[in-house]
Amino acid sequence: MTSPDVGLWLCVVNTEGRWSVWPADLPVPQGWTAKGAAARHEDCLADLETRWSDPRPIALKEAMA
Amino acid sequence: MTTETDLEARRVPSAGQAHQTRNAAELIPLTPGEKQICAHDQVGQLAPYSIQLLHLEIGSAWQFGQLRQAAERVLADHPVFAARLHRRAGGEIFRSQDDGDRIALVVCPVDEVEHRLKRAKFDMTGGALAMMLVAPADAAHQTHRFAVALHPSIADPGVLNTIAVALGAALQGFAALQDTAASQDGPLASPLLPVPIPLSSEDQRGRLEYWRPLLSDETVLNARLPHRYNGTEDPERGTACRIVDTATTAGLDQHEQPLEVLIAAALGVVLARYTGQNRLRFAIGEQHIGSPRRSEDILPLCLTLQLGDPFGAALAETGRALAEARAQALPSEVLVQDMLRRDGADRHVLGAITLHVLETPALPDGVRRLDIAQPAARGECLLSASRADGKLELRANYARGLFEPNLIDRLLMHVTRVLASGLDTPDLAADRIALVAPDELDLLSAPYEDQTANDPRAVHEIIADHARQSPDKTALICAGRIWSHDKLNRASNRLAHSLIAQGVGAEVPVAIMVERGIEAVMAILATLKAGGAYIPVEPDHPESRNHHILSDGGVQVVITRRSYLDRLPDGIDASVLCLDDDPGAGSPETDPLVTIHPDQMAYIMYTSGSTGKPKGVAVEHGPLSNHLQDTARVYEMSSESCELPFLPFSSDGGHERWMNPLMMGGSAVIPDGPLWTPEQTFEAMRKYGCNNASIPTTYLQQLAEWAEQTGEAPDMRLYSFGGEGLAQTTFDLLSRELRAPLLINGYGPTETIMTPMVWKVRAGTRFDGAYAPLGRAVGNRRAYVLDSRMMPCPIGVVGEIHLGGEGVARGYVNRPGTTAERFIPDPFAPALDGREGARLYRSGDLGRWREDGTIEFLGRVDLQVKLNGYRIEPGEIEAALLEHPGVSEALVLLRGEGEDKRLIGYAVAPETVREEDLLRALEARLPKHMVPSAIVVMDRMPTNPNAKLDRAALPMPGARRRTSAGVAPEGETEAGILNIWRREIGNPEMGVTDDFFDMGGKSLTALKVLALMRRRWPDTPLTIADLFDAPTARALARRIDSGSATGRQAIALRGTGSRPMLYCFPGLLVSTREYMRLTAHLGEDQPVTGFLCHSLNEEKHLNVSVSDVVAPYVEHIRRESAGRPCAFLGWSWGGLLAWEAARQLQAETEIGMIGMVDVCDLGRDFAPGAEPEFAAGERQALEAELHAWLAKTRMRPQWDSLIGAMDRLCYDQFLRFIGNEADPLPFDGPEVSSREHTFWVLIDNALVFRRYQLETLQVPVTSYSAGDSLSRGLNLVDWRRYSSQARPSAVVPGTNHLHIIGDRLFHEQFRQDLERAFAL
Repeated sequence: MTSPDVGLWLCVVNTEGRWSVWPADLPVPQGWTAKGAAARHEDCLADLETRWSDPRPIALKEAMA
Repeated sequence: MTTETDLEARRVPSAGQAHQTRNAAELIPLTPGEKQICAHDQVGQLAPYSIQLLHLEIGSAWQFGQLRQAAERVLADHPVFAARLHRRAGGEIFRSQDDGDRIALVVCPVDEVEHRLKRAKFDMTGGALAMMLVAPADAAHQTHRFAVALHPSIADPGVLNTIAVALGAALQGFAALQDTAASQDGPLASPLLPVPIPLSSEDQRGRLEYWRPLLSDETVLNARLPHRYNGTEDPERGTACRIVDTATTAGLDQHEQPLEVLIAAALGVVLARYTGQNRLRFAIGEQHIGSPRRSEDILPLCLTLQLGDPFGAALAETGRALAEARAQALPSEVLVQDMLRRDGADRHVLGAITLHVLETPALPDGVRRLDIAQPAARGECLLSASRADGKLELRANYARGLFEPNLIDRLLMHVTRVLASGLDTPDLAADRIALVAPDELDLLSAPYEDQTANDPRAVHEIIADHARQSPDKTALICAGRIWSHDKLNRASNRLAHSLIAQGVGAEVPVAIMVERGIEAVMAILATLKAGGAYIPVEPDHPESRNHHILSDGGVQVVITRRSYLDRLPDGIDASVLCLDDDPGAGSPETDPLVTIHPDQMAYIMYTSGSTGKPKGVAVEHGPLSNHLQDTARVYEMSSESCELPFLPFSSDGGHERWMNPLMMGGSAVIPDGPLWTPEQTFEAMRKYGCNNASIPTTYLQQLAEWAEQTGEAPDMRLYSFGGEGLAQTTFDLLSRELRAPLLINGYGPTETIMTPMVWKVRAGTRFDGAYAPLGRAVGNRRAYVLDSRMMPCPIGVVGEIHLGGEGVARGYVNRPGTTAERFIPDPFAPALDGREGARLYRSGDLGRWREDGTIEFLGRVDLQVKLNGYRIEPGEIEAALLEHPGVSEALVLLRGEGEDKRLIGYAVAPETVREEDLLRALEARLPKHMVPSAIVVMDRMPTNPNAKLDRAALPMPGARRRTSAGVAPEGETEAGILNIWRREIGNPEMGVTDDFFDMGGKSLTALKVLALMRRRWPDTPLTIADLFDAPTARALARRIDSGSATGRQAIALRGTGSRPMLYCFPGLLVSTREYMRLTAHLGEDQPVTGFLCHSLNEEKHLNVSVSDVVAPYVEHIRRESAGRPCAFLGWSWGGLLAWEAARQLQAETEIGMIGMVDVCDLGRDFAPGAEPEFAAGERQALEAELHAWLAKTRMRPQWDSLIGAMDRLCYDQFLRFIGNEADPLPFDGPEVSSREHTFWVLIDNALVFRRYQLETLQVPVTSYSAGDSLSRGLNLVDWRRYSSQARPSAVVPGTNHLHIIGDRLFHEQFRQDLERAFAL
């Protein structure tokens, strides 16, 4: 229910290579790493549209390689 | 509309009037608060006030003689010990404090002190109001005791403190004497009793101007705790207590802010967190330290909190608001009376929650308080904080009917947590203070207990295993065909090999566009075996949807039938395999050797999003297989399971319910068409020996109804269902009629894989809520309710449902942004489960944790609306509407802009269902703020060409829903009536079949219309009862034309029902419609008759007696009830009528109960013996004014005869009354409903009243007093004086003399009393 229209957000990625966004003023949950600078919610999502082109988790990618 | 209030309102208090026994100079007027307490006592209901007790333990350092001397001194000095109350004619109460009245000190043994305090009884009519005890230490007790009990009209915790301090000082004087041997005399500081100085009317107006906008500001929420479902605020109270830990207490003591500000700010933060509203109010207590008389009161505290800021900001805001409120202080009675004038005012207008921070002054060493006096327990929940023995105690006193005790315990805990956090981590934002502790979160979010390890293999591998172990066992049954596990496995293997040949492998989507049945299951298994991901496509779904699905997900192969080929998009870039061509022909029947990675896609399911294009949700093998194995255990499935899955293949739940039995080695009976009649379904269940069925809720209801009609239901072990909110009534029907021992309500967004949450219960379970609970998480998942700052919501608080753990989908196909937005990092998994990097899915659904840890569904986040500061879930209102018989569809919308914003309900129902009935049904079960302002009843919902609801086409409830002109009148009578009605209601479209009241006719309009109709048909007796019974122009015309069908005195409000008849006696000038809501609340089995108010009749007889007025009613009761038991209700002046009727009927009829609703005796305006006062020359001036007016009025003859009937005192009272009137005397008579007529009726009524003597009767009496009448100190009748079977009055808070009759709390109280009165 976090309102997307307020505050700054971060693009974050976990060890499986799955991406998400997280409010910049809250501590980033363990197992996730922030990538890039804090930005507006919609800008973070737009960024991920291009950055996260392969939806496969890392382990699967490796298994299929 | 009634004498008493109006007379009261015009009263001007004046002191110094002669009294039979007291010298005027000695009488002190009461404050509004004191008056209110006296009024409570008079009707026998002291609550929320209580006798004020002080109990001190006095160390043995003092001799008992010294204690006694100190006590005598306090007793001699403090005015409360000489206080008495005196009632004057008309009910006004004054206080005196003559030394001659001072009470005597009582010496008693220590063991008796408690007992004597508890037994303390005080006399409001001139008797003592205080008791003081001292008890010497004895063999069993090391210490002396000092105790005081005081009537609450003269004391409060502040007064008790003053007494305690005075005693302490006197005792210390003795200590000083011993130490220094110095003499110690001279008086103690004797507190003077301040005479209340009322604010100047100008100041009072100014302050009211300050409060009015603030208290009616819709953006400032009157903060409330979450109520019980269908809870009512009955008088029963609960209490809770919590001691604040010593570290926090010490921190608070050292804080620069006063304790009051700290606790109020913490409460503000907690309430803002509970309600999601940062502008809110609650009431805060006032206590003047050292005041010799009662000073306790409450004021609203309106806060605007910025929860993103640290607690310090909340402290600053609270300090500001508190100072501002105190600068504008008014007696709460004045504020409440002002606010309650408005219709629809909040029951607890100053605050549903009240906080008192009590000062407890230091006492000398060796003196210890054994109790802490508590303030008046007003409102839904009273919190108090006090210091005792170095400890800080938080206490709550709450309406037991509204709140779970656990909720209140948690509230105290949350206030403590906010305080502790504010001290320990002052930089933390207030919205990030944890209200839910980690161990509580662990319990609340936990899934169904399950320690079994899962098989690591994929779904199709586990299914294939059964083909080897039990090859001949039935796997699938459809349309009369039966496939064994072996046959299914061989067929799907053949197709799988062909798919592999087509290039299907990991991450390759294969669309299955085949109708639900054996072949579809076979094709799905083949796809999985080949390593591909299947996409189910329903051949019958709209082409645009299917084309989107086929082009969106990168489909490489489509498996379909020849007959569906024309439904594929042109130029589709995929291989198309038709099952009719047997694409697996010639391929091997062995399991293909394909390794499945747990992260590999198993299927893509397209959601049926209500907006935008459907989104494909990709689900991976690992979580899918785990989910299904976990679910099978929750459903208690085995190889004997035979399931009938009725869910469509376009939903993931439909797949869960065939995969599950096959994975267990059981079987599934797949319906061969989308629609089976209940008969067909039951037949199939019996024929194939089904024991499980998974069925959409709506269809399950049809099955249950069929079972109810035929009395037959097959033996089933389990029904699982879901898909929509399930109301208790529907659940009861399912439980009762389907007779399966186990029921499972499933919930789950596609994004969290099939059915991540279930509520698994035995048939017959009860739940309190609009919908059946969603239950808890299944498998390696957790379910959370979170607020907007990702903080877990406490139990009962609304938030968004989040699901986390292993069982979440990969995301949306081709939509990384949307995936990232909805699947977010899980901040809880690292601490709770040691899993890092886990994800949570934001469901978009609102819910709350219930006391048992299951989650309740409340609606969609995007449908939640805000009105008057309340967050409202329309779904909850819709569920309540759907419970009304006949309503098949319901919708609730917030419509209009700005101030016109209001909730409108839409119900699809037959014409016989009336808006009024629906509104009353909702009023009975929903809080006021959730009842729509109007409900439009329709024969169907408007739809757009896509068969979706067309919201824009929903009508606004008009001045009346008449879109065309009504039925035209026939004949002169109809035309005449309609003419009058149209003009008076202001609706020129009105027809002869339209209901007068439905078209907007109100009580006063009715009176006016009656007067006009009587003029038009002077020879026809017409009463309001006629209009009521025949509310259309056509029906009324028929009665007028028939000549003898009019002139009724009684209205059958409900003519049917087996219980004893309830007769309602009218207040003055009320139209009997006022009893309709009560009638609705009393239910179908309670017949109700309303009598017509005599003053609404044409002829005004002068000098009637109460006995004359009652005669026709008595006649009616005699005829109708003929000696059978009955019950009476008298509201206002109707109470006297009911009493007189009971007197006349007592020998022949059993009257099981008389309910007296806010019945007042004459106030001092017209009470016999209440001599009015005039300033010099004022009486002559008023008499001259009266004569000048009489010379002009058209009602001269009526007034002359009325004045002629007055005695000297009454005439003087009349003059005084005119003098007190703010407005000039009216000239607009004599029509009923004119101001002058109303005035005449009031005075006439007062004269009738003056002559009536209430006699003692032996009848059971219940009585009900409006909070506002008590607050005004009205002269309410104490019925215990007239019947030994009369109970103390029930107080209905937050309502006034007029509104009480429509008040839900009163209705419920009355219903219970009536039930009790006639219980065997």
